[in-house]
Amino acid sequence: MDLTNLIGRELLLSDLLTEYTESDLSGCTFRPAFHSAKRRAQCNRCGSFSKLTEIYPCICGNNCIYCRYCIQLGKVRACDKLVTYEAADLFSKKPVPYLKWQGSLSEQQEKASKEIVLSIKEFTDRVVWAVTGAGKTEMLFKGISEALEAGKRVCVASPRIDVCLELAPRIQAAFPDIQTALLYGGEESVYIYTQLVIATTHQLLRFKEAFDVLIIDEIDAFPYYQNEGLYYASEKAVKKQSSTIYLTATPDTKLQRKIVKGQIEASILPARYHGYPLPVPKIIREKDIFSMSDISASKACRQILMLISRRQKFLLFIPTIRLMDSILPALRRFFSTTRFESVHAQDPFRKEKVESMRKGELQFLITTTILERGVTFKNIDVIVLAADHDVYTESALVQIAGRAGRSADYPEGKVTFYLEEWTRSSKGAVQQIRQMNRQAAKKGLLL
Amino acid sequence: MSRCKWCGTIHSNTLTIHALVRFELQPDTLCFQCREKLESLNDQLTCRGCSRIQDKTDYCPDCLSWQKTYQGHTHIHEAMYAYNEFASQIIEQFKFTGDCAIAELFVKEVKEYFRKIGQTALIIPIPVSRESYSTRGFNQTELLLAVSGVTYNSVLVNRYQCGRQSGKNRKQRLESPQPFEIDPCHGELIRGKPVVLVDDIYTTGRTIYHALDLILPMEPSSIRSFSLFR
Repeated sequence: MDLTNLIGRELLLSDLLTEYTESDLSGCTFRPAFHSAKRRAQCNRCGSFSKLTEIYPCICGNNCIYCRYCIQLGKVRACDKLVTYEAADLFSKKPVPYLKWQGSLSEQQEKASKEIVLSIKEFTDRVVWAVTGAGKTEMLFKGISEALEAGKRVCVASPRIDVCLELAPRIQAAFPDIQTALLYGGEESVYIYTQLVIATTHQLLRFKEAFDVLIIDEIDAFPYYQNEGLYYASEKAVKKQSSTIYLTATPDTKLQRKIVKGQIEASILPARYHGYPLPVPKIIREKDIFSMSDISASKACRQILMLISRRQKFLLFIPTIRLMDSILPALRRFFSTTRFESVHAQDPFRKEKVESMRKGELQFLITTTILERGVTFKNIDVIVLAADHDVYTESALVQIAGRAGRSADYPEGKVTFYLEEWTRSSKGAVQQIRQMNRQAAKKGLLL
Repeated sequence: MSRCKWCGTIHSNTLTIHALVRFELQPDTLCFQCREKLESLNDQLTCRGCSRIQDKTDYCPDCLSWQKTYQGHTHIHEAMYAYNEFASQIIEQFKFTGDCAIAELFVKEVKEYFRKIGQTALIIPIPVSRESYSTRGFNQTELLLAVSGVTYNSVLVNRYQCGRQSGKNRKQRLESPQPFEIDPCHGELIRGKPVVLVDDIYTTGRTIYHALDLILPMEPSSIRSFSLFR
């Protein structure tokens, strides 16, 4: 039996036995699915802890602990085993360049690209802190190309499916001669062993010591407590000697501290590729619009009217679905002659609505934080209502502000935050944007 | 402060006088947002026979038609929550993904229901097919009762190796043959006792009425049924 598909993978024995026999797997390494740690049980696949008392009836006939945290990848039961096949990768060195991408890089992109190449060569880790709209993906191409030519196995991962789906066609177009696997939850295609893998970070849990190069995009896409799992997954998925490249526009404070202390090498790109500064949010202090009985007198409504009369397209961010529902009827009445839509994470027509906004069919789009990152609209303004709400972290606000002015044709989008009180997040976001603009100016990266 | 057992967000309960007086100091298993997505059947108009949502409390056409078949027995089924989109996600995660801890979500409701029923009743869970049992490792209804501390008797057993109701349409469900039989070791328990049949979901009623077919001839003193969802 050919075990090629198992190289670098770590899978459940119970799952493998549907495809392989026990004698097929005799050359593999087995380990228990859980181990005990400080009076708790730790899942060896995802690193989460379960209480020893959380036992339930199991297929083995006894009561077993199982892991709730990675159950979407298949249930890890304490009576099961994790199987790895420890064999060397089958990719050979090739002197031909794999990269077919023809575009050019800006000065700061070029510098970061070289630093990434160096990190990969020397098996070191690196953070690439690049502002929204800096052109991150293009800077990766050279590094990926050299790694592939050296016979290394490469994975590009992101916590967000949206980001993976957007990255995959761009990467495939840049490396047309390399077979890539795209792995994400809900996808049914059969796994094949490829040199280049694009995957959600969740899927990394199915790998062990697989990659020489791991690139993680948008590492800050989840709140911190979910990120612990991400670090466990990425450490498990890479080989002992390897290079991990973290990409982010808004590193959390822990990572920022690491960068300042020099514990991890960093490439900082403070300017957008088109050379215009990031739009700094304009702050308008106003009482929470959701508690107003008549919204028409509010400054926010007047601004919306003004934008409509100028035919300026814009995104309107609202903190929660509930608040969105509460204000929609009033908005529909008030702007009855204007075409607009609202989207949130559970909206079945989310894709279609975003698409029609992109085509310019809508005057504005009302959204929760789901459109905070990963999406690009040409020539839009951004308005955030209740920017002092708890759901807006510093990085969320920086990302939201980063939706404006992304295209080189319309580099000067306007961003407005409506808030009643300054919060740590809103203050931090404005500071972070200003600081990046100052750095960019100092380095002479702005036009 | 506790973590929502469904979505994982950390939430805090608002402490009410009502809760204090009744010593309900256990934090809610769901956060407020998730709790709100569950649609309680207690505070709306439902069929008095099967808890189906409708605009009156009379028997629904389905119940009337069952009553015609079962002359002399007017069955009462009570359900907790509407089987809406959220409920179907919960059931999917519970039964098919195998996330047993979901059972803990409903401890309070299940406990409360069976406290009212009383100690003397014979509580009989609907069995799952042997195939489902061996792939899942548990019977979701038994687990719901067990984590709530309710004592039950597995009087009914499944005759068949496989076959589940959830893959069928309404017509196929209604036409499905009797899947159960009475475990001879427990059969005698039923006579003269009040019986409560328990299932996770009530859809067409077919399953519950199959169970009735077997249990009614054993002459229980009364019989009713309960499910989490309807």
